[in-house]
Amino acid sequence: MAVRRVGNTAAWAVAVLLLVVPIVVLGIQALATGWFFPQVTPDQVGVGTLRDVVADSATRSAMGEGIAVSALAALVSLALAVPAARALALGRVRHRRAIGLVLMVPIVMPPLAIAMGLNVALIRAGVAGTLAAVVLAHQVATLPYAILVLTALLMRYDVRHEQQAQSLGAGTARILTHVFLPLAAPALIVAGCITFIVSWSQYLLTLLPGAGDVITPPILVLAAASGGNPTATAAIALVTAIPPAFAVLLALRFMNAPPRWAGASG
Amino acid sequence: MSVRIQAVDLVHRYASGGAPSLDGASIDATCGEMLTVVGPSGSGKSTLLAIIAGLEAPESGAVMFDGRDVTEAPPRDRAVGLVLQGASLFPHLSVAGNVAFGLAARGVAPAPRAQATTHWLSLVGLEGMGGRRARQLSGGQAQRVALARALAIEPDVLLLDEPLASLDDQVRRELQDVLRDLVARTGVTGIMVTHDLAEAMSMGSSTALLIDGSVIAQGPPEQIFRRPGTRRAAAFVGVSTFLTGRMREGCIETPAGPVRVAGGHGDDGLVTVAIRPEDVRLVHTDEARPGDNVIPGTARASVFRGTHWDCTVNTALGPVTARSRATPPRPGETSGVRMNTVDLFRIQDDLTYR
Repeated sequence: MAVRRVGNTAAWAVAVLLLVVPIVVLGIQALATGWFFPQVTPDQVGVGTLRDVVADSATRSAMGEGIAVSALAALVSLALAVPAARALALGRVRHRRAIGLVLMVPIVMPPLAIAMGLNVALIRAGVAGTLAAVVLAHQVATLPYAILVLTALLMRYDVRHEQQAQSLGAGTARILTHVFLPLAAPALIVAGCITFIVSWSQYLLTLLPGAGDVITPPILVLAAASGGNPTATAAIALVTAIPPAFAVLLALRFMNAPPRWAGASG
Repeated sequence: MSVRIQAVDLVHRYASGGAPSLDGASIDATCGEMLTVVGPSGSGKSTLLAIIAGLEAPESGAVMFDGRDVTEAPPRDRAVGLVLQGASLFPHLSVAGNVAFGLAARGVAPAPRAQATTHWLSLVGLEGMGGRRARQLSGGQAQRVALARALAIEPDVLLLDEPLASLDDQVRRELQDVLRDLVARTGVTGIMVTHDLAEAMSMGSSTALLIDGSVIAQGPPEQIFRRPGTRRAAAFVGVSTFLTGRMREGCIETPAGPVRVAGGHGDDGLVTVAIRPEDVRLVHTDEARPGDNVIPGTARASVFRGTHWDCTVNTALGPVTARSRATPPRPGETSGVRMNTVDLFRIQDDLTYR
């Protein structure tokens, strides 16, 4: 018992160290001015830099573009992931495990290699430097996650509801809009949120296809970091962490909800 | 409108090259009758219904509605009402929304749709409950809604896949009455699959036995129950005593001596006869007279079933089960079993190789 308690405490300590401490340090750094090593506390603390960052049109523009790119990337990924996840979770698919592994390949490939290859294709297609090009490029990173999460969540989806609808006379479109989408909405929201977060953090897959014309938060943060102002960098990082934080909260809200298709009495 | 439903030689596999879930299954449900299909778990009952509903495609064979081949027709073109175990109500819709779903899908205008929904809800005894959600209903109420939803589209055939399996006994009996009443009122052809023999016997005007993907018998429930034609069918409907021997002069030769069989005459070679446990009588062996068909034995075990005892007696024929209302002999006591000649019936032995 005692060993287990010590183990649990140690696990919590590591989790706090890795997850909470960096955010706390980031928060302090965003408020501090003149805080250099080996000083334990900053010279001055204030919200001035944070206010400037929020008011800055570059931040607002990057946030807007980031939200547009990530929301569109999530929607496109979901649209593409639904048939694949349904087949993997519910269909009689041969070599399911092998197909699952192939779908995961983009996640394990070096992002630079993928981004370079994709960029060449986008330039040739004449769409480099557009929002659409960035959304398309993000699919390399977001689609595998969307399929992975949706497959896991749809594993317990009860296809008998669709069979009922079919025998009652519903066509494919009606089954999609009146049965699948309402029943799978929580799963789609969770997968959409995770896909949004994955898209939000893409740097190389935004920089190269965006050709400098599409500026999203990661590009802004890295540009600030190279400018040598840690307070401004921390402030930008903190502000741009708000949309994905909301996505996490939304995903958690629906992840803990019981699946809607489990609601039928019987 | 009701139609005759035939499934002819259906073969189906879930995995190509795998074992067939249906292996030449055929059934015939006449207009307006309730056909019950009974079989153990995994015998292919649900697959058979799914094929008739158009939700699964057979590898070979045909589904006919009034002689019209609908094997390739999509589910929406078949006019099939489907009720599954556990209701499968749409949990995001109200009770009325569930009942109206099929009508809306078929383009019925809102006013007649609402009228039909109210009508069907009242027929299943759920007036005024249209606003409730599926999760607010009991299991029995949910199945009533599922029935109303399936019948609201006025189907040619009502397919019921173990619709009462998850309900407690009292609710189950109530719903059996509701179902019988609705089928009689609407005149719809019904096909109900169940693993419960008693339910199959009580609900169907015809019963089919589906075992290992094949229909081994179909006929009136009493005939299937009292005089099954084959050893497999007999074993499924609860017959456990089989006598195989050479027939000579109206008697079958057994290790326990000759046993007289009604209608047996001449020399018919090797035959198999069977007897239901409720037709086997427990008797004192000293009361037996020659030609009485009394086989002496020793009581082995008895199980009380609420309304009767099932007593197994070890005899020279092997273990023989007798069903008795009286308290049976204790294990180890001497007891005889009497098999009246008229209760022994011939069967085709489809299990024993000769």
